[in-house]
Amino acid sequence: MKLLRTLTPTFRSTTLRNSPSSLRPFTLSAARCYSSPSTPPAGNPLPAGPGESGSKRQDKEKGAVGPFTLKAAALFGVTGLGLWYYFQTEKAALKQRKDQETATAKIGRPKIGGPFTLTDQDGKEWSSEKMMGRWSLVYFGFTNCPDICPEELDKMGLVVTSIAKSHSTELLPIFITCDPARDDVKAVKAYVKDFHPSLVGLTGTYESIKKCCKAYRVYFSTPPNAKATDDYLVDHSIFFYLMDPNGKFVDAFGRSMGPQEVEGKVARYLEQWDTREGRGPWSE
Amino acid sequence: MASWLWSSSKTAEAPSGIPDRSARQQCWDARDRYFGCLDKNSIVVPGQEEGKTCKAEDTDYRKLCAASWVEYFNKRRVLQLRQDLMEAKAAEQRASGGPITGVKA
Repeated sequence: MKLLRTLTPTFRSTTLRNSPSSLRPFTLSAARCYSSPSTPPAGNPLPAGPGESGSKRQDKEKGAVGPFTLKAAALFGVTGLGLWYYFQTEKAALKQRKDQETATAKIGRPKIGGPFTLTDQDGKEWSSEKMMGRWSLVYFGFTNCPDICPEELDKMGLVVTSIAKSHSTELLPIFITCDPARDDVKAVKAYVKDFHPSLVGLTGTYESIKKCCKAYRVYFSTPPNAKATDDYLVDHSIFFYLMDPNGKFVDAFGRSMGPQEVEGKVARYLEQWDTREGRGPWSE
Repeated sequence: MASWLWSSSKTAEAPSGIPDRSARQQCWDARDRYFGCLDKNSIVVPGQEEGKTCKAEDTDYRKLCAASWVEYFNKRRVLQLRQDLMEAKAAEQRASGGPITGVKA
């Protein structure tokens, strides 16, 4: 589908460009006729003249149609039609190119996120409905994570604090475990305490966590048959996501991005948000 | 509190509590001390040291970090050092390749 979409414009534009090029001689003469009305009478007999049979026919037809021969009229008509066709198709091609650009802009923003219901660090049901009307940062990790998760969560905390100051906007930081076998409510509660005071820690059943991770395109792998008491690490993707007040995905920030860089990007998105319309340039 | 739980798991086979911020910091510090010792003795791969070299540091490291963390940090050290070495070699090649192109120009 995507391939088709990228192929069609090139196919189109070449076929379109080729067909008018065969019309070019007409187009040129027509343009000359149109731009300076004084030239046609002088120039008109000339193109019709050179061929012997042409001049003969011209003599025959002259009387019937006046200074304009049937051939010239036909030529004029064809040229006009050609021009009209050329501009019509060019216009269509331009529109298609424009449509395609906006389409890729929309396709470029992946569909990430979606509704979920998990359990927060106080053992209460926590649904993604709570993200509505607020900007949120979502991070997936696990409490036994050696160094990356705590670093990322610290970074997230810094961004939340500085955005609160600079934009008087309270981002909602959310940590979702991808190690539900070990990270029960108690573990998550103890873990989130170390980070930003408004950090929400979520856990759930393996199935609900898996579904949530899938919605957020988070890959994770726990060793097979892992028991809650085992000492293991969880492989997982390490992005954190910015979601807008409609719960729609805005951007993902990788590990290589420092807190200032993330902060700058988040600030720009906040500034692009149209509060009255409740949408940003990334909204569909 | 949790750091007490953490350090109480002497063998570090399985974390009996969730390492909190200070427990994590203690583990990272012990790791850095051990890796620093390896560096001083020009040892790249942890565990290749002989005799009493870095023994105390290693014991401390294993006491303060869970086994899975030790394994992870050790593997990452080797990968990181190899990558650094490759980058250094590439930079050296570029540097030695520099004058030749300079002559040509």
